[in-house]
Parts: sequence; C-alpha cells; structure tokens
Amino acid sequence: MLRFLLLTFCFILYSSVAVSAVKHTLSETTGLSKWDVEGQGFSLSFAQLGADYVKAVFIARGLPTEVAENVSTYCVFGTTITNTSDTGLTSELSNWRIVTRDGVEHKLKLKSEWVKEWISKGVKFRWLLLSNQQNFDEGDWIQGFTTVALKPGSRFDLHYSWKQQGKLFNQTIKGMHCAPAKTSTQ
Amino acid sequence: MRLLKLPLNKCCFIFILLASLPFTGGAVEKIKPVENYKLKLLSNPKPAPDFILLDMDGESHSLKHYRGKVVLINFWASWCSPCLREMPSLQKLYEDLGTTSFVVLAINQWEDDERAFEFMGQLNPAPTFPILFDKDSKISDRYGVQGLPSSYIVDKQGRIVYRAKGGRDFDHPQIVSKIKALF
Repeated sequence: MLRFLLLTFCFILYSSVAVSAVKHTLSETTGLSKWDVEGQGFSLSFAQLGADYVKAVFIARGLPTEVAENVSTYCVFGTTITNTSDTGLTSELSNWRIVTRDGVEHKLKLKSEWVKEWISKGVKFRWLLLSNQQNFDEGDWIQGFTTVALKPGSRFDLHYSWKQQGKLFNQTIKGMHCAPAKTSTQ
Repeated sequence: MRLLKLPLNKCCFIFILLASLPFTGGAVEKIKPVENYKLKLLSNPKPAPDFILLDMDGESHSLKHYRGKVVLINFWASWCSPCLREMPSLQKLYEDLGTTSFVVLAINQWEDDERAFEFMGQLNPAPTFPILFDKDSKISDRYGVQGLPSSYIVDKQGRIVYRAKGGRDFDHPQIVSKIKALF
C-alpha cells in the first residue's frame, strides 16, 4: 500500500510540475524580466517592456503623446502566444487574472478598452495590443502588448487559460514582477 | 503493476529520480521551435472580400483584377518584427512561382509609403511584388485580422482557401506545393 501511495504521489508531482516548467530570464541591463512557458500545446512568452520604450513605440506610430504616456504608466508586457499542438485552440484574455501579493485580483486592461478610449479622443489606431480573444489554428502564433494597472515593483502570479477541443486549461506563472524603471544611477 | 512488487528501497529510488526530473535544467519540457510552414486549410472556402488599394507608386490594385490567379494576401506593418522576418520568404516564393498564375499583395497597415520604403530597404531580397496601403485598416477589418502578420491564400475562383496567423517560411516546400496545387 505504501509503495502504491508513493508511486501515485510521485506521478502527480511529476506531471503537475512538468506542464508548467517556466523559464525566467532577467536582463541585467534593463532590470526587466521575461518568462517563457510551454506545455499541453500552448506556449506563452511574457516579457516586460520599459515605460520609455512603450511610449516611444506609440509616438512613432503617430499617436498623441498623451495617449502614449497613458499606456506607458501601465505595466506592459510583450506577449507571444503560440499554438504548438496539432489542433485549434482559443484564448480569451478577459479570463486571465493577475493576483498580487496582497491577494488582490487584477484583470488585464484589454485592447477593446484601450480602443474605446482612443476612439473617444479621435484616434482610430487598433494595432500593437493583443486582441481580447484569439483563435489559433495549427501553427498559428501572435505577438502583441498586454497591459495591467500595477504599481511599479509589484509582485504577482499570472493565471492564464485557453480552450482546446471543448476542454478548459488553466495554468499559473508564479512570482512575476513588474519592475520599476531603471535610472542611470541604478 | 510490477512496480508495486518492487522492494521499498527501489521504489524510493524511482521516486527521487522522477521527482527530480523537472528540475534538471528544462530537460523535461523544452520550448519547441515554431513549425512555421503550416497553413490552415479552410473546409468551407468563402469569397475573399474585394478591395481597391493604392501601391507605392499611386497605382490602384483591385483584388478582382487578379481573378484567375492564385493570390497571397499578406497584412503587415514596419513595426512588426515577424513581418520583417517573413518578407524575404514571400519574395523568394514570388520569384520561384512566377507571375503568370500567382501574385503576392502585401497590404501595409496604418503607415505611409515613406515608412514602407524605409522598411523595404532593410530587406534582402527586397520585395518586387505590389505593396498596398490600408491606412485606416478597413480592409484588414473585413478580413478579420487580429494581429500582424496575417496571410490569406485566395484561389483562382476568388475564395480564401488557406489562412495563417503569425510569420511563416513561405518558401518552404510544403507551402510551395500547396500553392502550386491551386494553379
């Protein structure tokens, strides 16, 4: 009986960790982190982008400085989602959650919310940000920005999900960080 | 079931070995390279929305004008690095398949010809297929483009038969043979 329990525990431990093996890379120069994870046919890359870079990218697209500055006050991640499976999948960003160390749940600020704000300011731009809902056929992948209103220095867990063949998959990247801007004296 | 008959010390050894696997520098779950020659075959092909757009020389191009040819429509922008990476493969495909039965229409989003011209200067080989401008993204909206790059292959009857989201190696033999089969 003891052997059976030991092997069962071993199997559960192995399978739960294997599907969520996260690779974390920290840039010494910028102080910004990147997280990569792949499992069960879904690959996610989350790389924090510096506020100055974000602002510059939007200004270079011809967006008003006020709009660019507003986006750059958020914690912005260059996000890549890849379907590494042999069948289609969908991911709905409105279902993703960020849980900070104080236990508070935060939603991503979605592309649809940004676009609505921009339209009210007369800006018709709809690129750079990752769409709320994504459908991925075999071999499909997409890159874009995701944004969340977090204070610089916040630490959090990202709870993300996707659907494939009617089944909902939930995964978590623990111990993520919204690094504050690095100044030249740091 | 044979494992259950193993002595306890052997079971402990197997337990330690398996439990340590996920911590051995990613040996268990490596990040797979993207297989970027896959195209989604649409089982119920629908007519491709028509458009009339200007190219870099101010010439107008209508999709309808290319009826009878296989058309690869590529939505792109200069800020999109995967667009930059896949563009030379589009050019090689265009050169290999010739212009008798095939054309590539690369539709830029949001930008002007000056920005596109700078972008083209960075590419080797530089594209010789038509670069069109969809400055208000109305055409990409009609195609339901969610992100850049996105590509659609239209058959000789004007129907969208393949779709790809994200960059691809368009000169890969598997893509070339799929397009040739449409001629």
